[in-house]
Amino acid sequence: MIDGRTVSLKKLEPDYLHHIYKWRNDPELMDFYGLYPTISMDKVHEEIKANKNLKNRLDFIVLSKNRDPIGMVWVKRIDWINSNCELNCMIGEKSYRSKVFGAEAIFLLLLFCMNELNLHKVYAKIIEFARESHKLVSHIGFKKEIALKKMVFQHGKYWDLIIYGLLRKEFEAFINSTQGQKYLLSSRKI
Amino acid sequence: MLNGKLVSLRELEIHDLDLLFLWDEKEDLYLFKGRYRFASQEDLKNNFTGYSFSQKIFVINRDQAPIGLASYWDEDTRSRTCEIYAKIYDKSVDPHPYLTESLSILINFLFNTENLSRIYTCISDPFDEIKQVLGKLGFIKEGALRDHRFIQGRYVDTVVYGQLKGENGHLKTEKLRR
Repeated sequence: MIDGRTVSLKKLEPDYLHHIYKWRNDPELMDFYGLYPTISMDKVHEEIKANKNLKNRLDFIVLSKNRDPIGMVWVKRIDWINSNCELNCMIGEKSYRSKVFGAEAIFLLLLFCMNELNLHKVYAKIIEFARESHKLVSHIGFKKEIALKKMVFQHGKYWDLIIYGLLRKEFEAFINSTQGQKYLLSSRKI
Repeated sequence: MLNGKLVSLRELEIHDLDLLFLWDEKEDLYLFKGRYRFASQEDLKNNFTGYSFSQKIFVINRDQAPIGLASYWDEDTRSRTCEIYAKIYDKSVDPHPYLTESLSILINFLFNTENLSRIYTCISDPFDEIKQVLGKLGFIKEGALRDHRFIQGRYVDTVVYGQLKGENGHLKTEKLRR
């Protein structure tokens, strides 16, 4: 378990199947991930089991202060040779969809990526229209690297996919900033 | 088989692995990077089905003899996109005309047969020959992913080039094919 001020991260277990099923069937939420908002409970279960066995992926459930599951964060495409991975964050519970919880969940995951996995770079892919997500990653120190033109088809039209990157040295600079110190001081690993 | 004037593209077969192994000894073969680094010839043969299914690989033939490889992967069926790459490994030929035509055939196949709407390629080696033909084929440089690959002891940027169906590049490819 990785504890922060407002949220904690816990390795994903099938115990959270019903929550993930609910989030994966939320069309408004799935818009941002390019995923179909209809998936059966069996398929979600299979997905959790399959992802657990992947060597280049790690899934965490995001828990609120009173230990209620509110979302998920995960890293995929962990590339050990090139020392990078793709970061994803999904706050499933509507009442928690503010920058505070998402930003801290991402910060804790970045701390894990840099300090435990010893990665050089973490990147995030965000669809053009997900305005809050763009603000969120920029707030943590990610830099916009590229806009892949018309990369994603959603709601009958093509959208650009923006890739943001955060290098280790930039994360260290963020940690040393006032904002970063605030996150760092309130995080601890159990 | 996809035919052009100078080259033809045929699907990779298990007997080609001996040749790929020879090329790999002279120059790192991009197909073996990552997953099959330091794999033996025996390992590759045993895993051939697995890796030939994860990406579509074509052998570039010139006068019935293989001179390079072209491939595409990460095909997104919903958004109709994929990544492509091609390289001429035979050092006895001038790579540019063969590379240009191979890519032109591949692009035409992806847009007009596979019905894709966007293709892209990611290049980390600044001296990669493909860079010299991408512009001619209508690819546009979209930007660079910083420190994205670790090559020869240091992190290097990866430059992404993209092309959309129906844009100028696609028409250029059509013209080249004719």
